[in-house]
Amino acid sequence: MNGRNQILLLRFAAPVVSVLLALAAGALFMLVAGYNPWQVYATLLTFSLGRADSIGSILFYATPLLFAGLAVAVALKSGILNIGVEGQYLIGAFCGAWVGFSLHGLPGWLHLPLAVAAAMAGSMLWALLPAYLKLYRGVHEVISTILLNYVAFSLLHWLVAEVFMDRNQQIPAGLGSPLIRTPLFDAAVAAPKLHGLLRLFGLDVPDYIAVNLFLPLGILLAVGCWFLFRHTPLGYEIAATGQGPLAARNVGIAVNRVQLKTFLLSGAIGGLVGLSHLFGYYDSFDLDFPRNFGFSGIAVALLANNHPLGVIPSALLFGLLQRGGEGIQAFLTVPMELVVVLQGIMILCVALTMRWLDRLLLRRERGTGA
Amino acid sequence: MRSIHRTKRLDKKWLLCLILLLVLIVGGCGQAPAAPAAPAKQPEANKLRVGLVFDVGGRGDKSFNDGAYAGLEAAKKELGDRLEIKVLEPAGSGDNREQLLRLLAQEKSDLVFGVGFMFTDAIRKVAKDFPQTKFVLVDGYIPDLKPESNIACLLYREQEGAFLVGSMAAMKSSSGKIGFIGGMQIPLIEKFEAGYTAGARYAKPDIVVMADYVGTTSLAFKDPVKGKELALRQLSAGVDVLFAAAGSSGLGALDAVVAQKKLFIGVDSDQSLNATPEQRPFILTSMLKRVDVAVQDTIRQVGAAAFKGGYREFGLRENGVGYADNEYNRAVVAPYKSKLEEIRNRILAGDIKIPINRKELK
Amino acid sequence: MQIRPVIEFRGVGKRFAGIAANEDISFAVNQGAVHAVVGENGAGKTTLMNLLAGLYRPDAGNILVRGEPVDFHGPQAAHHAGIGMVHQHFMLVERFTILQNILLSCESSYGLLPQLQARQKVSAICRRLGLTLDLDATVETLPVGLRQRVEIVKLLYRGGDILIFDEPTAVLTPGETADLLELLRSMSQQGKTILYVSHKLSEVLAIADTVSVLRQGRLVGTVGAAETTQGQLVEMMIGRSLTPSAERQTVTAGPLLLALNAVHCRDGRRAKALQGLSLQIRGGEIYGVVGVSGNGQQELTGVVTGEIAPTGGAVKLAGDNIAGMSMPKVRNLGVGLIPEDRDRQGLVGALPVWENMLLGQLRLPQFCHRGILSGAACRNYVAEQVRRFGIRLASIDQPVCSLSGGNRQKVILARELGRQPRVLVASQPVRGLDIGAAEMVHAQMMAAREAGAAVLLISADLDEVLELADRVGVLYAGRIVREFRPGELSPVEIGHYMLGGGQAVKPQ
Repeated sequence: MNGRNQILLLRFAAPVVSVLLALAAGALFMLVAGYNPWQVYATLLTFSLGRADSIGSILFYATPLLFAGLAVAVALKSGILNIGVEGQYLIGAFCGAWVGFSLHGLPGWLHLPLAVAAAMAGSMLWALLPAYLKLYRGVHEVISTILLNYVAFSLLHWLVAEVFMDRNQQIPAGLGSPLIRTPLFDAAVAAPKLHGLLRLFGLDVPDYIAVNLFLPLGILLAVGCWFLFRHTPLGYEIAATGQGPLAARNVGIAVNRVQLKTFLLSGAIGGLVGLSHLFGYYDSFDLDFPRNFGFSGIAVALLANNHPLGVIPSALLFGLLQRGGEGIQAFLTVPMELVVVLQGIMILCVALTMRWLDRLLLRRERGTGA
Repeated sequence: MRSIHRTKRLDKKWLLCLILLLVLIVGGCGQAPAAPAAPAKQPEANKLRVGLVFDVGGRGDKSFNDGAYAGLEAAKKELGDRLEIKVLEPAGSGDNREQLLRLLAQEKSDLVFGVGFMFTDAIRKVAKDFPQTKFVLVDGYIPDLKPESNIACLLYREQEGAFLVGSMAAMKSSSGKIGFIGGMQIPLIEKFEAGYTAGARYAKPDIVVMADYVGTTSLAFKDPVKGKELALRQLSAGVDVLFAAAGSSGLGALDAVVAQKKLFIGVDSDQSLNATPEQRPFILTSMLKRVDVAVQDTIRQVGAAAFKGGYREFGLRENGVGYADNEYNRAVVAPYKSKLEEIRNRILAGDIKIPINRKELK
Repeated sequence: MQIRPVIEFRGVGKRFAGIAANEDISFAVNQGAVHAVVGENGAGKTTLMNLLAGLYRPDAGNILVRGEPVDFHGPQAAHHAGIGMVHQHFMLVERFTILQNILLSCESSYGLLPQLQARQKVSAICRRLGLTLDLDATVETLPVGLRQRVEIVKLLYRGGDILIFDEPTAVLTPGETADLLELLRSMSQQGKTILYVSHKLSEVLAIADTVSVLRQGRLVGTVGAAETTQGQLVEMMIGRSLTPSAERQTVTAGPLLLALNAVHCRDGRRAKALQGLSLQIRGGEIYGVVGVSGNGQQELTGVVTGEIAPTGGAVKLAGDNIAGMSMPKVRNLGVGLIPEDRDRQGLVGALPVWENMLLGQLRLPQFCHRGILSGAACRNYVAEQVRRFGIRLASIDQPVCSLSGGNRQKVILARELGRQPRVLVASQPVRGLDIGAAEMVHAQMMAAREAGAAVLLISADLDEVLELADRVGVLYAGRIVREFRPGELSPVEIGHYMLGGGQAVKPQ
């Protein structure tokens, strides 16, 4: 077998090998923790892949991670570690929510896009601040975005608990407490469900699974990003800026402007993160609106090795692990803490082995190239 | 593929992988693979299946969530093998509460608890689809329930219990300064603060009450480090009795109080019971929110086919809230008992109007 | 005393992904000798040294050290056998002092007492070699030449007596080079065995006792340095004799393309770097700049390419003042750059060859329609350039960092010359390249000259400048202190100006 073929083979074998290793590492952990790995894996797989509602759930869980992973990956391509997707998507989601509950009487085809635009704009503005600080004031984006996340959390608390809180909830005096949420959305802003489409593929997802329009949007966006990096000058300028800023500057690329554009693009994509949940599942913006998608997005992007299309399987894997976690919790009474550790081990293992195999491949390519 | 084994380091890696795989295989063979749980097993007759979903990261807070679990355990002791329990916890983002409730219902649970008002919408949605299953929402309010509904809401008058411990704190304090540390600043926790402050002022009008909140997200209920920091700040300002209603963040505050040998008031569960012997002398009492009793009680009802939907209120009158009086703090609490009893009676008589938020407090 | 071989290679072979990097190499190195290993880039010199230093393990054959076959499982094992290597890229912690860096390389050297002993031991080593090192200076403050000495002392401190130097002079100035060669000589007199990897034959012949020549992974032969000449070595290295440099075409000087008038600027630390520099270059002319590094070379490059905005004076490109314009603008007006640090400033290593060759040009209408790249146009253009510039590669999709140094430089040349610049700035264009590649780079610069470009060549290599340039300027303290045509001044006179001696002669 010659070198080229070996490399090709390795390239295809790499994900498989890394998943196998991840399974093995997880198994070791479960043995130590006193569970039967076969049973856990069998439950995880049959439960997550053997039921229509599970498949639907995986798709639903994966949707925000898809956007979050893309937001992180795009920024990382130009050398920006956007830890702030967390704050950006929450701000974005609130802006979308604001359009959702304050406007009434608009048709759905207008109301939803308007809300989406508001979310993207809000998130982008929230990203503008660290972008400005980085490019014109030299403040490292990791510091500024982490800090701005906290600002975003507190700002949201104020907006939801003080300014826009729905005070028309009927709660008996002195008993219980009202939900800390905005007024309910106009019905027109609800994201169309995907059930009809999935049925065409023979997948009958029950109504209570909220998989919606944002899933195909996310996939389209991933393809769009791939196209950006593969077929447009801007995409290549972003990659050059990220991997060799000095060289990029010397060949006449306006590095600062490229990074600004990328940061804002990342912010705009970040604005989409929460919307599948917000308009597909919830009926108001609750202070308890799902968190952590931004942080998970970093892991999703790293696992995908920053490849926009790689983000799709990566997000799906996260969705699968979450759904699988529900299954092994419910059927095998494995406590959530262990489920989280197991998920962590598997993700880490996949990421590490992929990276390791990648390096091996690069070295071999060098070997044959020179 | 010979050249993969190029250096010693690579060899080691492959060896490690091989070991891992071997372990996997051997481990698997050791125990015959059990058939994966079939989703639709018939429930055994006479079995009582109870499921409970904590809130995100709630297990181990030694207060509210653990209180609910304690009720479950007490019921297990009482009913033994007849009771089958499942305890779940949502993912970090908290977006699968409904799915977990639904899974429990699909598994033919007779009774499902959602611990915390965050489950309000989820329980409303799932209960509709499973009329045979009873649902209990702890701390949350779903409108328009009737006795024949399959949902029961457990609602507490926390302010009444907080009023009592506030009075006790004020009477016990020698510095004239007492403290309050809340978790997330939300109306629910403000009820604790308002009741506590009002009670303290009632007992000692010139008392100073310092109040801080850990944060603005639900993380505020599981941030012991921040809890400790806030407690240290209050202690250095002269606070000598400190009440924390902050989930596991309160454990950090407890640490700080014990280190400075001041007094701590726990919340929800009787925190003396699961504290270490070194901590106990410094726990004045706990404001009890008897989620455990309510949980155990509800399981009993369902076991006896006597479940009633609708609303169940727990205040001083129902013994759903109160203060802890146990073997560890009996001596400390004794001098104040009669005064507290008097306050209790005045509350029950409606002579004292207790505020439920910061606005009413002023 | 009987001379015995301290190292012996017996039929050593090493393959990467099926390609032989070393094949059946056998030679012996004598105790206390300076043994040079020469060959073009990619001939397998570095691989062979890495085998000896324990970084790789051979697939075939044996390595004998002091008569015993060895099988090193890592660099540590080689250290224990007294073998150490000074790499091209130094392995020093910049923030640490010299002493700390030396101690860092050994275990069990923490604590107060060992430190005191170590200090004495290091001082003794320095004394023996006649080196003056301030052991408490932090490494980041040291010039390259001194850093290299720290590496050497580090190896000696660890007890190394077989020292491998991989292209040690590639990063040094001529003066530093002379000092290093002196140091090597005194070490060999003290009984250290030195393996010297290089392709600079003049140095090799000046220092080595024996020379082994590699070509395409195989040993061509081992000869005594006294019995050979540069010409013979070149023939052994490249398998043919070197064609005498192309007959210099007479080019009629074109219009004035680049003119700097009394340019002032400051460097990164806000110190004055250029102080009234003036020069003019016409089309079809190569203007060489020589000078001791640090006299404003980087800033000169900077003001011409737009990287640095001058604080005074004018920079005119074909009559238009470009001072203060942004880099992209200047570039679009026709300034090309072959940067000094080709891997960081010229290329993006992880990206494929074709992208690097089109870096910064993808928006040209010939490659891009309505914002979308035309893949075929890009690839065809790049394939054509690869052919024209004779770049050796497996595929234009392979990452550019997987090419050899010479081929990487050719990628930059192909990119810059492909744009047909009016002004080409070339900074150290052949530093670290082997003879064949350097020949090619020089030929391309001559071709650019013939095509009518104004070429600004900034180099530390006086021979290179004298061979290529039509006119030469000596840069000292931020200005050109003397201009001359090659042949007008002797190297000694030039050196005099480079050290500032000419200031009085021709003040500006």
